[in-house]
Amino acid sequence: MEELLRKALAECNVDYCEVRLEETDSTAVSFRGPELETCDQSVAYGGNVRALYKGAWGFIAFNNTNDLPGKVRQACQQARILGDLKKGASRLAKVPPIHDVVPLLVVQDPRTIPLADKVSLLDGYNQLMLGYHPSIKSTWIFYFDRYSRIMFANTDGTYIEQEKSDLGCNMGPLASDGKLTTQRMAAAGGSNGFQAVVGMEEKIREACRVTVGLLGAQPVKGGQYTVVLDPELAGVFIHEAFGHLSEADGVADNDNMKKLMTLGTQFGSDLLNVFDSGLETGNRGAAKYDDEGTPMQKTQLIRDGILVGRLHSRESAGKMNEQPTGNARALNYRFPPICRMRTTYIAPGDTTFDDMLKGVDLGIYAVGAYGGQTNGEMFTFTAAEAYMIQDGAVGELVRDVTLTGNLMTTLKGIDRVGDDLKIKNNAGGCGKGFQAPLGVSTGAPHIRIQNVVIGGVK
Amino acid sequence: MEQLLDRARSRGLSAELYRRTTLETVIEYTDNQLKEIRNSENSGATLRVINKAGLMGISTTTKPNDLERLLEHAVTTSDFGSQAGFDFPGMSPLPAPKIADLSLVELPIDRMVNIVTDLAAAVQAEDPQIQAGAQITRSISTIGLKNTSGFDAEYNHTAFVAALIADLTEGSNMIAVFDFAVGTHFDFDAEKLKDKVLGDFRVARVNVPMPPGEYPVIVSPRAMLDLLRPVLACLEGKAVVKGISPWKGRLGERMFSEAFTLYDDGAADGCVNSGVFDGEGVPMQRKALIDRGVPSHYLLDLQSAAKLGMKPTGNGMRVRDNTPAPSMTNLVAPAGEHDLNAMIGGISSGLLVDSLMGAWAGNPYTGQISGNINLGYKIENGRRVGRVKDTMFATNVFEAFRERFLGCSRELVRTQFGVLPYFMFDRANISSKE
Repeated sequence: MEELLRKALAECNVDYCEVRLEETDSTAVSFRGPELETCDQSVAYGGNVRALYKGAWGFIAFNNTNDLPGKVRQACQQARILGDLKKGASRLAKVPPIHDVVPLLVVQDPRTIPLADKVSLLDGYNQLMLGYHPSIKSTWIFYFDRYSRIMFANTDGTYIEQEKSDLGCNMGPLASDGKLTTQRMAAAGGSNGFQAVVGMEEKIREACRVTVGLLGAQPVKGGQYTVVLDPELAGVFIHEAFGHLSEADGVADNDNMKKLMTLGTQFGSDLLNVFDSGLETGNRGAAKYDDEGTPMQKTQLIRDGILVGRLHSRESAGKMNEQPTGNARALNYRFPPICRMRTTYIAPGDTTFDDMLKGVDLGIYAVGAYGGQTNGEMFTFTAAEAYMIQDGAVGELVRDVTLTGNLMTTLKGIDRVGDDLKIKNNAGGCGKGFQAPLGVSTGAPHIRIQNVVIGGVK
Repeated sequence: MEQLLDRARSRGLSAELYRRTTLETVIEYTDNQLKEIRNSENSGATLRVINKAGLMGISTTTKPNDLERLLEHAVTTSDFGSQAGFDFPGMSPLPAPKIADLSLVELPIDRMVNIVTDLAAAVQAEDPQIQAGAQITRSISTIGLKNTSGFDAEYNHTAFVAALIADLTEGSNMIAVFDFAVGTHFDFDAEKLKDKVLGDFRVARVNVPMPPGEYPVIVSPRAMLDLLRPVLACLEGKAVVKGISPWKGRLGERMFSEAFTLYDDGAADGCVNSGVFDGEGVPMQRKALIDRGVPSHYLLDLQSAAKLGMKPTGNGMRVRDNTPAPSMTNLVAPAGEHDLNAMIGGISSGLLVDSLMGAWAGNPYTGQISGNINLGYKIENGRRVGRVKDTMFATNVFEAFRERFLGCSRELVRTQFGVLPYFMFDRANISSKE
């Protein structure tokens, strides 16, 4: 295979070129209510070539891999069309040539688990949800596992073969009292084997308890509150509110953004430390090399509230005279790699949960996330469950809690960081530029933020 | 490929082979620079079988000549699959929407490069501080479906999307004003797109405070998708079958203002989600989802239709993982009586919501939606006076369409999701820092 890829690259007439071949076997199972809804086993096979000439890229993705030299010629030709118009400089940060074969590192290989056993495990989870309470009218489960083998070569002399595993399982009960329907999700996932989705019963019971409880909850009153985020929601928050902004492909060619994102700038309260890491084995997003062949690393993004790093591809690093960080990721062979997060987390502080509640006269304890979104400066995310905090104690459950804010002020509003870091994985993923869902994980301890806007009824 | 169905049949299976080949070309201009040409040639085949016990199995491959595994996977998964409850349909009369444009197929790369360069140049000419971004996507697809009940058809589909963005970071204030032109034909009006983006940008450059409270709002066609999501979730066939939808058994019941009518039209000319047949061989068609305030049709695929004892509606779409599932095609609403400008002109203090963030999250069946206003304009004394930031928009969509809906604009806008007017409501809740 190496020979084939090298031969294809032999006649490049551009500044840089790479070729990638990929074969992925996947299984997906879903339930909706008592019945299994879909069961799917599929194969995704294809490749791509990416060429860089005078600062412009030509990219071609394909399923038919018979004529790799032809595809290389086509990508080079496209790069030259744009490059001749652009007349820029190709600036890729240097990465030493690597020759490596990375075998699959899993505890329990999902491919060795018979489909019948996977279905039976999920069916058991489903029965647990359905039987939990009479108000639970339905359920849903989505499970997937994927095994990929990726071959990568570039004109710098790198050749890497990587085997990867990815899997996840999200599920939730749906409760209804005839007027209102409520749900809470239980989730697990990982990159090192099937064991990640075994033994979810406790999580599922907790999701059921909250789902039923939400039927009796009142919608939150919109306004400005002191908010305590649990580790799951705080993890989504740091991914959405800050992580995307630290992706350097949005900064490298934008002078205004460069000014805003100058290293050394105070970004958050001095309690805040943020990392992104591809080294956290077992978490979704972990790998030995990124999709440009850059070795994985752990990158500190914020140290004591000060911006100290960002997430780079070779191109963004080259343009900014910084080092690549192993964050060039492609969803699959159909897309070029772009700057993406892996395991993004807030490092633990020293405040206990009880101390965090102290002094909060009226606030919200927001737990778990339905999802979130950002436009760079502003962010929004929806809590899966939330409780009022009154006079320093967690009180009644409320629903429809959506938190929003401006990144620049909110990160500075963090006034407590907990001592209880947890990393969360699920079957979802992150989206950017049509490449979704890409497996990532997020983490944080409990954190407390002042003056967060909560959308809700008057 | 052709023998696959015969082989499935000889094993006592009903089978359906769905094939799609797409050639997509993207020209990208970002941060004031030409960046990339991307070409993707993507072809795949999905085989769905119904075994002797009536259970469904499904498998997809993008590997050429890998038919053996495709059949084996489909057969294996059918042992665990759901009860189909339907037979694959035979041939029926098919619509002929205008959804393929030869001139788009023939559009040369250098012309596409010129278009993005020209779009971006207009933004850069406004102010060199602005980062201009433009992107063109041209896709050419062939979709074929054949099954053991005798359905055998194929159609071509083209799509053109031009996007333009004006992006400015001043201090810590970020503005990103963007818009799209979308359609199946190359009827692109570059000047209109430039005028829209630059016109909006000039207003958005000024930030104005929006004190919390209740205000009249106008919601743009693209933001309406967020507001219509609860309606679509309640009409989605599977949610109805499972009893998750609170609208089960409630078609024909008046729920909303008579002024509210909404169609799903899978055969609309020029719309990118239109087709000749859906992902299961059912003719694409137009049906009222809400007819003068009354829910009239669910979105149904073969399975949900069979379970409800209703006719499939041509909404068995291959949206995720190639498994057909009931989903919207193009949302279409009739034009209203007033020009958008007249609607804005009639508001003394209110809001035009152009784009929401995060409003898709949350539980759709309550009708409650809440989103950060990504792009929104304050209206004062009948005109847009600036951009509203750090502000949440919240409303109960069901209540809004029952009690607060005032009507639609005369202007209709084609988006990726259909052809919709601007919608106006007499009030919605706005929260922001006081």
